[in-house]
Amino acid sequence: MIVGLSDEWAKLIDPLIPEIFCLIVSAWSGMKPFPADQKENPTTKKLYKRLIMHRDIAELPFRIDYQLMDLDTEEGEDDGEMDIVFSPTCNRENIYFCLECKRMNVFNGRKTHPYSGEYVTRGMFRFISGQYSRIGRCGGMLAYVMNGDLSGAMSAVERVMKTHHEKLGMTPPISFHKTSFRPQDDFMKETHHVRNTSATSSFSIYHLFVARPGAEKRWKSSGPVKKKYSDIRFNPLKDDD
Amino acid sequence: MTSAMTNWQSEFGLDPDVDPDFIMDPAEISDEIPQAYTLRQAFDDLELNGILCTDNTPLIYFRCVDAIEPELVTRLHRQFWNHGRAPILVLISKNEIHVYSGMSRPKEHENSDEKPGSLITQLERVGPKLQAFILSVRSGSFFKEHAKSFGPYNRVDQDLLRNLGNTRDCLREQVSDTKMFELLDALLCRLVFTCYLFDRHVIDKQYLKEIGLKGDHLRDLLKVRPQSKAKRQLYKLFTKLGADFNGDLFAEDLSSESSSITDGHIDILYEFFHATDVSTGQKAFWPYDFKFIPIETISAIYEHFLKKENKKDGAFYTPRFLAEITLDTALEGFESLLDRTYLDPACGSGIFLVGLFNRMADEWSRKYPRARNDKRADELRELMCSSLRGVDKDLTACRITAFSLYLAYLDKLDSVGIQELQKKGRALPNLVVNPTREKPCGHVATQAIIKCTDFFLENVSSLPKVDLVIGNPPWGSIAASNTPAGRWCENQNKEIPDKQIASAFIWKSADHTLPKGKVCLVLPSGVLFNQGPKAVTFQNDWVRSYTIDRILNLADLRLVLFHKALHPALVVRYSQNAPDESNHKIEYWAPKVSWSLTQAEIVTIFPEDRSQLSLSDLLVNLAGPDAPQIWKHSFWGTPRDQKFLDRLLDYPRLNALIQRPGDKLEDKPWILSEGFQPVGKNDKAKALKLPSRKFIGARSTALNLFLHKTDCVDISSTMNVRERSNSNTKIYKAPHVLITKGFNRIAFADFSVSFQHAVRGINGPKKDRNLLIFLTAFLKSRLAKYVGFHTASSWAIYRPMLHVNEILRLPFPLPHNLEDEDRAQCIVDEVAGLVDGASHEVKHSTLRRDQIIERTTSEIEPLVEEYFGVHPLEKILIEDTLNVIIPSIQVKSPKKPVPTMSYATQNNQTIYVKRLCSTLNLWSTRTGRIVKGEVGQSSDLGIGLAKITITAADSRCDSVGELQQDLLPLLHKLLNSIPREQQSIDPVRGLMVFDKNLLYLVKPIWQRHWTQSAALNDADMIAGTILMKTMEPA
Repeated sequence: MIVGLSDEWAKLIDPLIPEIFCLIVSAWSGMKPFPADQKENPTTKKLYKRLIMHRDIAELPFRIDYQLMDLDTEEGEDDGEMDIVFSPTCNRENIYFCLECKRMNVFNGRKTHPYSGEYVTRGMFRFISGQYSRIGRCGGMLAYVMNGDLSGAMSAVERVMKTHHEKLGMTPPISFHKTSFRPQDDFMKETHHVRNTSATSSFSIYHLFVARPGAEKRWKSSGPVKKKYSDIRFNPLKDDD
Repeated sequence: MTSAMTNWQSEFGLDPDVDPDFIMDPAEISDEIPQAYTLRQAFDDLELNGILCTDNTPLIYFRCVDAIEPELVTRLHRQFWNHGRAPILVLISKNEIHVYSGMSRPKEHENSDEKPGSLITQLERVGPKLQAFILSVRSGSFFKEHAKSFGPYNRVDQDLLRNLGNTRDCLREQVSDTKMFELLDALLCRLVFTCYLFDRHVIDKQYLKEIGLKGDHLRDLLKVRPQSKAKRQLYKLFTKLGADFNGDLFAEDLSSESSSITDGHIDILYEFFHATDVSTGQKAFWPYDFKFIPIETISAIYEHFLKKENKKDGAFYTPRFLAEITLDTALEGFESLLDRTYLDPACGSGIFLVGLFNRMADEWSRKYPRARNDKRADELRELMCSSLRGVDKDLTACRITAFSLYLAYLDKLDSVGIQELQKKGRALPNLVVNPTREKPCGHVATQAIIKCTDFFLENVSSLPKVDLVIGNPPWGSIAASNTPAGRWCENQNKEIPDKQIASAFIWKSADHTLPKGKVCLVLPSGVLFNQGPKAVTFQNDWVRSYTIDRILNLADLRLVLFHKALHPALVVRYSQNAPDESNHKIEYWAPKVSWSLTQAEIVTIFPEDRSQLSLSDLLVNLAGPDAPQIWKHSFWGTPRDQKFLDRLLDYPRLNALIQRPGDKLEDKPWILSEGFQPVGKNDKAKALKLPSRKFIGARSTALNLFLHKTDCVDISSTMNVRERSNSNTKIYKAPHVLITKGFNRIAFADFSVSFQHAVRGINGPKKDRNLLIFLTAFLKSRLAKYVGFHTASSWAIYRPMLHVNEILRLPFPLPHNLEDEDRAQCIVDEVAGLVDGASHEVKHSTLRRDQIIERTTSEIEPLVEEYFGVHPLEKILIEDTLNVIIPSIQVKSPKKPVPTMSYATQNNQTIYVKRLCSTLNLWSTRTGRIVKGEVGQSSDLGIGLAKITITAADSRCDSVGELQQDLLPLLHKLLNSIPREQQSIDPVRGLMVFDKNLLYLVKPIWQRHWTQSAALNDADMIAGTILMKTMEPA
């Protein structure tokens, strides 16, 4: 029985989003090369396996689940499965952080499809509509950039965000912002939204763009993995400067 | 009102308005309390002033008296002991308080100078001591400190059971024809019933006088001499009772029975009813008073008799506590018990039907408090006959059920009401019908509700559908295809793995429930834990066909509560409808042995032992290669353990490398098989040419890490073995790993050696020598033991062993499966080098073999952990499982204290709080704050407390200190700080109170709650709570 959680205690532990992304980046860095036409689910499943096998998961108060059904979906919503979910170890009913994964820049043998529309409408929209992370102030998007062109993929997403900025609850100018905990990383960004649903109003989405291992090296890839982010102050709702 | 009654409860720190476990007014007992009937009965029978419960079970009875006089104490204690419910009676007088044990046999009027044997302690009427007493009882430390005053051996049911058992044995010794046994049992039943009628003043001196007999009680008839006269008088009384009360109890031909009863039988019965121990001849005080002994106790006693006889049919005694826990589980959520129907498909002595009737009658009586005697008698009889149905294929069982129901029925009427009924004649209906007989038993079975038949021969038209099917069906592999159960399942296309008859009851019971009806059965744990394709298919079908809502896993209590039970029990409640596979959750409770349990048979379920499993997770598990491990993971495993196990079990498994006989031929490098089976007397034999004359026995202590040729004996190289014995001699060839069945002894052998089938061998090519040595080291490691304990179906449930399938399911990645392949290969080679070195050293220093192996093992352990990437925080989980949990499983006797039942030491607490703080501080590095802790404990109270304080990260102070406050006032302060609507919580079960920059953790003092694993889980709980709070809208 837990009684009387005070604000003092609420301030003891900073949100552990940096640690979660640290784990994701570290897990991704060990992914073995896979074909450029590999579907999203096998990739996510391999990443999930690497996450749960990661030794450092023992240092986090979370357990990780793959393709978890959100039991709180409202009537009329499709029962989308959340790709990767971080839940408190001792209370699995709650979802602390949800990561939605999308493929981008997929070459189908004839041409490269950016899938930036999918990223926004079938990814970010799910957070903004409250379908994912109804309770919560942030969520995560992970783009598997199959041809390795991370900057190109990000620009494409930015363009689609501009088109849908109202639906995304974003205020112009529409662009990615640096993250407070990885400001030097060109491929780790955040966006800020206002949700107009029964879900928590102010909402941040963290975006990580990663290159498919084995993709051509002509594009700049994500920076080196930092082991800890303990020296960085982090606030998920902090306005970007 | 006695002077003692003024505000006594507040001196004990009890408040009925706040604490739902404390009741002062029987009218306030909520129907939602499962044992409401028992509590009301205790208030009525014992004129109590208060009852304190725990987990719905009475814990302390309070009674205020003017003065504590020896005569009064003797009388009240005898009543209390006979009542047999709560373990503690507290007598409160103006100046003093006496605490008595409910498990101490009453003695004759005590000498006024001598303290009664049942007196445990005397307390002064000063607040703190009384409040400490309540806490110590709630936490169980009172039962530890006063262990000698408790223990079920001297409780009324066990005492009476022993005496009746001895009497029955003596009666049987007098006859040579075993057919007489049934008759003698019926006689004994009838005598207890008659004794009950006398003790409750339903019949008396006047009743005897009317039939020309002299005396006040049954005892007076038995002492008449000669014995033949006593017998005549006895059967005269039985005939009269038969005419007055009717019923199956007096249904047999009494005159024929009488002719079989000898003078010797009368002597034995005389001795029993005159308090002489029939086995020793020792005279004693007659302690029993059937006015107070609950009917369920008598019913349970007969069930014990009955099931002792029926072991071959898989029937076992249902202890009273189990019947109550099953009834509580079954009836949870039933708003009213009236206008509902119930069926026990294997009713035995009727313990469940009696429990149901008592609860229904209690509800009826409260609904119609002013009902006249005749209406009450008619309505309650109607209630019994219209609501209850029982089936048993044993006629004696059916009769005992009827007998128990008669007692329960009469118990609800006052003596005047019973006498009125008796005057009308035929007071009791015939309840038993035996369809195999031409005519119903005894008189016309107009209201037969107990059917003497095989449940599997009944269809829904002959046995109506009911709201609740409840029972303890027989267990065992006896549902062969030529039995009614086997045939029924075959016709219904239902799987019954291992011919387990209890599984057949699972299927058929659901057929007899109405829509939305429930089934609640006591089942062998194998129905959930057994492996094998059939067992998994059965479980899959079961959980998909019906909605299981609660499972109570009683495996850990097996040796304490079930004494001679071979198999551990589950209580499972399910409903007839199919579940929502996506959203349904199953409550899974797995209580562990505690002092309250061993000494007072009170089952305490701590929050750590309650979990919720989602059906979707269960279905995923059942579809996977580890099915059905999910139940085992959640048995002793904490959430941290489950996370660690998930990780370990994601590694490739040993079975990916090993080919077994009968497996589909695959490209696997190693083979596993058991040794040869020596030929027996009637076996067909075949000759087996062994690759070596060296032989090692399964019991050889040399099977430890490595084996030398000198450890072996020489045998003939050609052996006569059983025809079906393993013929593959490759497993005897080097390099190979030898593993005894049961997983106790494991060794690598670098030479060819043979062994029998109690040993299994794993052989591989010479190039894998180092890997096979590493496998040996791993199988012997703490890590393998940890995984084995949390995944094996039998360990901690039945026997501490791993089946071969379970060994093969252990994680065993090869170096190339791991992130750092080079380092992994180095570790394999390093371990092989250590084993080779130790083996070489032992050759030159045989006497130091044990020390060398111990030293080498300790050098190997960290390497194995490194190979598997075990994090330091995960090592803690391994340590606690091996050092605290495994030595504490399935306690046999509290005389040998185990870690989970020992007090946590100051050092345990200090390490706990250090781990808690360091873990929380790991997650607070960016906030500029840290936590530090203080600890305190009191074995008097049975609680420990940790006080955690937030401080600035740069503050210089020790992370752990000793709490400089008295625990009791601090605890009161904490409880008072809790909002009134939440004050009902029981502090000894675990409490976290956040107060500004402080956090108090109150937990039971037992070591299990103060391990480093507990600290990690508590830190997760705190962090999870904080993080989820920060997710909420501002």
